[in-house]
Amino acid sequence: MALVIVPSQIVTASFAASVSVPFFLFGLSRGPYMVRDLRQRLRLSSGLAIVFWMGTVLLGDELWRFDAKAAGDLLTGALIILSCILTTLIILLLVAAGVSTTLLVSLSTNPEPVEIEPWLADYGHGFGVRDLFRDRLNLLLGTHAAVLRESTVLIVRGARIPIALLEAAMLYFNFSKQTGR
Amino acid sequence: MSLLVGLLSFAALVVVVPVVVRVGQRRNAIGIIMAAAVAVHVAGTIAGAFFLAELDYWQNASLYWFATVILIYAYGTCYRSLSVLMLLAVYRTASRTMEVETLYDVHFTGFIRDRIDALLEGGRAEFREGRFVVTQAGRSGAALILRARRVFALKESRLYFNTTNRMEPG
Repeated sequence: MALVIVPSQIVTASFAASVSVPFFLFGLSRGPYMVRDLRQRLRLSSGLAIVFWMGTVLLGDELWRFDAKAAGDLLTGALIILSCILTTLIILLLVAAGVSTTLLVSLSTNPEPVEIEPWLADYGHGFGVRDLFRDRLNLLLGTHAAVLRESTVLIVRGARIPIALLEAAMLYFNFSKQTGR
Repeated sequence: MSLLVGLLSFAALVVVVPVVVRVGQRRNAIGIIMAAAVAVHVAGTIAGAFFLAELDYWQNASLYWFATVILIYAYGTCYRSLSVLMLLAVYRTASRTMEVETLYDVHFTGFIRDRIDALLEGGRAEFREGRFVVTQAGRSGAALILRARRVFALKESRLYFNTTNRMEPG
């Protein structure tokens, strides 16, 4: 029984690069290097972290051995960075565009208790649930799984297989009965 | 071989997840999935170290956690994505079509009510005499979210589309 827990240079570099993702994001969120578009900002932060990792790996000596261990560590490092980027994306989307988070923030900024109608009508301080509906319907139409004809949403014939996979995922996660009330 | 141990551990997690999400009583099963993921990872690592001459922990863990993050992302999409819920609501009709107003009035408002129920059940908001009010726990959570939004300048990003609109061309 032998468990190797000391990370190699390549893997250690991937940890450093993973930690750098939020720092790059922070740096691109303000000042002279500010990138306004959030998707572009995340893409650039991820790209910079990967370049940082690759640079560190190329400067080290482990990669140049060209053995199976180096190849395995290279794949390991790439998976560690990709996991970190994906986790950052999940948290960022939740904080930036999460419905529950925005509902909570709007409720906390109301000095008095609110009734549901006025709360939802302007819950985003500048947009309400109607705007949110249009926004998410736009997102859905952007996937080309559905189209809008006049005032009717239609499922596209070619989307049946992806939707069947989605239904299977809903069943797998025990959500198959949840499509609203 | 270490990567293979990670892959086999993930295969075990794929079998375990549908069981644990059905056992748990909470609507959001992220916590129980994470607990199951840690347990399977520990068991897989011990088994791998036992059967292999040498197990590289990081090779094993990287593949396992990368796949697990994707699984959690998929769970979040099925659980929370309004676009996915809308798509399935339309797909589950006999004609595979739905009026926009019906989609909004019957389904979308229901999805939003579910979110409000989750805030109430989570102790972040209260419903008193026909009105909603934030609790102390909710206020702390909101302060944390606002701080994160400020740090990463996320103020203008709460909707995916600020200018383009496929519903209203031009």
